[in-house]
Amino acid sequence: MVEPANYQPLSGEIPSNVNVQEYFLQGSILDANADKLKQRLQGLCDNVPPEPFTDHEQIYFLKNATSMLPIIVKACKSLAKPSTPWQIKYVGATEVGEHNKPTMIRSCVTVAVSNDPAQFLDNLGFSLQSEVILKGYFYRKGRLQITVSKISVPPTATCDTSKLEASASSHLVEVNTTASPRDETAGDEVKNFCQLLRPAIVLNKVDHRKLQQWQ
Amino acid sequence: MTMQGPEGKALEGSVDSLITRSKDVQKSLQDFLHKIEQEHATLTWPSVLDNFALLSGQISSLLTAMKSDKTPPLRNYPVVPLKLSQDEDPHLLRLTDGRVSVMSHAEVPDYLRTKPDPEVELAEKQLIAEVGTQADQISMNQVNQFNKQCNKILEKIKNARANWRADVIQSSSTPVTHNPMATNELIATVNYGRGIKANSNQSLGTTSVVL
Repeated sequence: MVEPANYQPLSGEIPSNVNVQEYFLQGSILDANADKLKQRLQGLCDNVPPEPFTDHEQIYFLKNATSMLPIIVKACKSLAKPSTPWQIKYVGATEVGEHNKPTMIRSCVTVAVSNDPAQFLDNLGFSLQSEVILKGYFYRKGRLQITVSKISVPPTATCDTSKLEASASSHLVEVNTTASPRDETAGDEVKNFCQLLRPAIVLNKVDHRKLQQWQ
Repeated sequence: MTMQGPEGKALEGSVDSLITRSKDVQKSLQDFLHKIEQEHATLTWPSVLDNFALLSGQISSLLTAMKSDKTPPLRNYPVVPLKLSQDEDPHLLRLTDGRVSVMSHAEVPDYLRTKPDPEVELAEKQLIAEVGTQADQISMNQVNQFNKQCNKILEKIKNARANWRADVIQSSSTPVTHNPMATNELIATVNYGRGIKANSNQSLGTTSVVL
């Protein structure tokens, strides 16, 4: 079996070049222009058909004793391909970094699990905070991953529509790559690719600390 | 002609200097006339112009002498012909180097004239007026042309500005394709669950896959 692009061997000996650092930029595009962006991405990215995906993401919070910010773990399940296993994704705090850093950085560890990890996470002290369904397309170019997705609310969740007014008419766009923390070129690679998408979409560094307090 | 006092002396001095200057002019004129008559075959333009320059310089120095402060006002000393006669006057003939022999009615007005004939004066006035109006017309034409050019340039500048504005409007009216607010909302929702609250008693156990 071919290893996925973001394969991370966590069990056993951890190799020194483990890809636990995610370099990423985020942006959004109005629904009306999403098709144009998709065409552009198709031209720019590797010549394989874009991969449609529908993912159900559950966001778990664990209260952090040492920090105001919680520890966040996401449990993801593909609704489009029910046979694929669950994934648990640990997402570290986002570093916006200095002005000269091309992208935002966060540590990110993804691991496949066999069962619904709800019970397991609950036992660890995590509590289910939110859940969301992402539906969209996945592109790749070399080691870059580009997702264009639309958010919807799963039937099991309650939604405060007043807080989602603007996002109702936009697609989320994210360009990221996972690389070793010592890899200096990864950030530039992401940044350069994002430049190609201007001016239709401007992918920027977003101050996540503000957004976290926003909820 | 004798006069008393300092004024008489000043007049005498200034008349003497006027006489010398007049004689200079006379001599230059005579030389020039002689040249024209005798050497007209070999005469070159530069030498003619030199002569003109000499004459013009001498005449202007004569005029400055007449206008100078030291010269008493000469208009207070008119020359009045007291006696006219048809007979030849040898004294006059000698004084004028043989040019004027008779102080007669026909000659006097020409020699003592201070103003041109009324007809000549009128003609001169007309000429001057004509020159003036012509200059006016030319200058009016030039002013009009200048205004025309200015207006053309002004119009060009205005057009350029209007086009530039249109460009700016066009570029600023490129359709908005993204909404920064939406970006923030989406990121907050996907990463931190903004606006969507999971029902904690629900679990997704029903959709789990058991290996």
